[in-house]
Amino acid sequence: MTSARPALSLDGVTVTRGRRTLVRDVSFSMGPGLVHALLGHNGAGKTTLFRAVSGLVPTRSGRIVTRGEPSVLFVGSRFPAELRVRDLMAYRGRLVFASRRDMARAREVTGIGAFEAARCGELSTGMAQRLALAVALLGGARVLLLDEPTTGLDPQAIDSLLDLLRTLRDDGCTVVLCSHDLAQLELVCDTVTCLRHGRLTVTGAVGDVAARVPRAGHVVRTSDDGAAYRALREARMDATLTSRGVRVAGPDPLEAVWTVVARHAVVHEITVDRALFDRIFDEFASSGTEVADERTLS
Amino acid sequence: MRAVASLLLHRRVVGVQLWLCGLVVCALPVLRWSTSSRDLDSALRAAQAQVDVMQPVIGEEFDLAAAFVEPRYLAAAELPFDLAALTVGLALVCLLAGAVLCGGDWRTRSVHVTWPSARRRGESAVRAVVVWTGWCAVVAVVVLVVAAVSLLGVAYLRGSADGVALTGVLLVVVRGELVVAGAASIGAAAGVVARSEVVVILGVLVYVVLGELVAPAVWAADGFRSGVTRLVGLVVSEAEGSRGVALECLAPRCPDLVVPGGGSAAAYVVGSAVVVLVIVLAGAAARRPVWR
Repeated sequence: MTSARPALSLDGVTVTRGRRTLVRDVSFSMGPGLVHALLGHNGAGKTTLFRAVSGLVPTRSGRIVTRGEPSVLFVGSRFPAELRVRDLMAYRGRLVFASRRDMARAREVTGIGAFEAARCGELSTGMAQRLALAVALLGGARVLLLDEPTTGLDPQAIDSLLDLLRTLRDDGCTVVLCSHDLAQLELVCDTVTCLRHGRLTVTGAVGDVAARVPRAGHVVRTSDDGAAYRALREARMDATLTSRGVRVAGPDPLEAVWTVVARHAVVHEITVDRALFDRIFDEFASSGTEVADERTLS
Repeated sequence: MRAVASLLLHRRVVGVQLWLCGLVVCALPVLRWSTSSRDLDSALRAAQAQVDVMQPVIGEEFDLAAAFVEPRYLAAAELPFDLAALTVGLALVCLLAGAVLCGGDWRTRSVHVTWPSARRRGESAVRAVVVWTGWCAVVAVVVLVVAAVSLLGVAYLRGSADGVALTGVLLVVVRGELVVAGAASIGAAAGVVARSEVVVILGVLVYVVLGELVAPAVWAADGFRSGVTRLVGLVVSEAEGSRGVALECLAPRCPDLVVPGGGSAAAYVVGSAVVVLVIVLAGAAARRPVWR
């Protein structure tokens, strides 16, 4: 779902603080109705880039164009504890001249109606995240920047958040998020950008970027993991017995693994040993390796 | 502005401020009521008894006036200072509450989420400081007028309101209003500049210890006047030549009459300029980059 005019576009953005260059010459753009992941190691410049896009910090050079004023949600942001959710919403609504329809939409999409009478200080982490999103949506923002939105959320709350992101995407919002919860991110993201030491290393559709990373190994859980392990070793595959099952590393295709194991045990489950975004992170965003050549995948 | 004002009324710190103001505005007249009496005869008898005891000990004539303790609340001598003291307390409450209100929103990053762009941050900071200053000015008027009326009531019932110049009381209230508004704007702006209320509260604590306790003790002989003393002097602003004129009180010893004057025009100009400058400063400070 793209259109000629991008929802967010960065062109040669460089952010410096004093003598330190935090983000260097970053360029990428994305269309409306997408969920975009920004990956990078600690200190790679993800949050700085979010701050630059939202206007919290100035850029030294480059150009940032967004469709409307973006809303931003940072981890650890809190609203005044004594305010009731409905008061905060009403206040924010008046400030941004939100219509009744906008208010109702924000309530409905985020599901905050269930706890509108609660005070902000009484909310769980998941509820607070929902409230922050509702506040962000009230202004009619079409671009949402979410910094570590899954921090402190239990699995159920994360699922709920991901559902919410899908709803927003279907509604035409562009969501840019960064998180270290990579296994969850790949379930919802359409495009991805990686940063390493402030430089862009790769950007593009998840499928295109995935084609550039090594294939995943597999973890096989069977009725007799010991027998499966011995069979895989005899077949000269790089197998390791783990508490989760037998891990088969390397490029062996799934069919080959299945064929060998199925002869000796009943296969209960085969999963990948590393999630796609973990492998993308290792390849393009981990801090341990040298900066790769910059590339953009269409 | 209306949105900010309506939100302010929901904040806990405003509730605490009102509670404290209510407490003080009730406590001061009650304190004056309970510590004063119209029973001048009893006070004279007590003074005479004191003289009778002391005279043989000293061996010289002991003046009755020296032993006399005024039991009545004489508004003409005490009301301006009571209002000035109330003003200082109110100013401190408004300063700290302003810092908590505005600085707290920065510390918790509520501002980052609500107003990310520099222009919006600046506008929201100015709005918050203006609304807070206006609110505190309204609270100050109510508190000072209620306190003045209550204390005058105490004076009528338990002392004397003779010699009280209502114009002088009004001028004290106006200057008190200006001081409270200044303190409120400084507190709120300091919270924005420091981006936390903690720094402001610590700063006030350090000032109280050093500026109000240590320095006056160390430099007492040099005639050092602390900030609060100067502030009280500014609020009272005794009229030219009023000092040394005793109040007619039909007692062996009468206190000096305190006639608040118009005060220096520069004080009003500087006070108003401080409020305006501080609001502008808050707007500029809020526009600084938010790196953390």
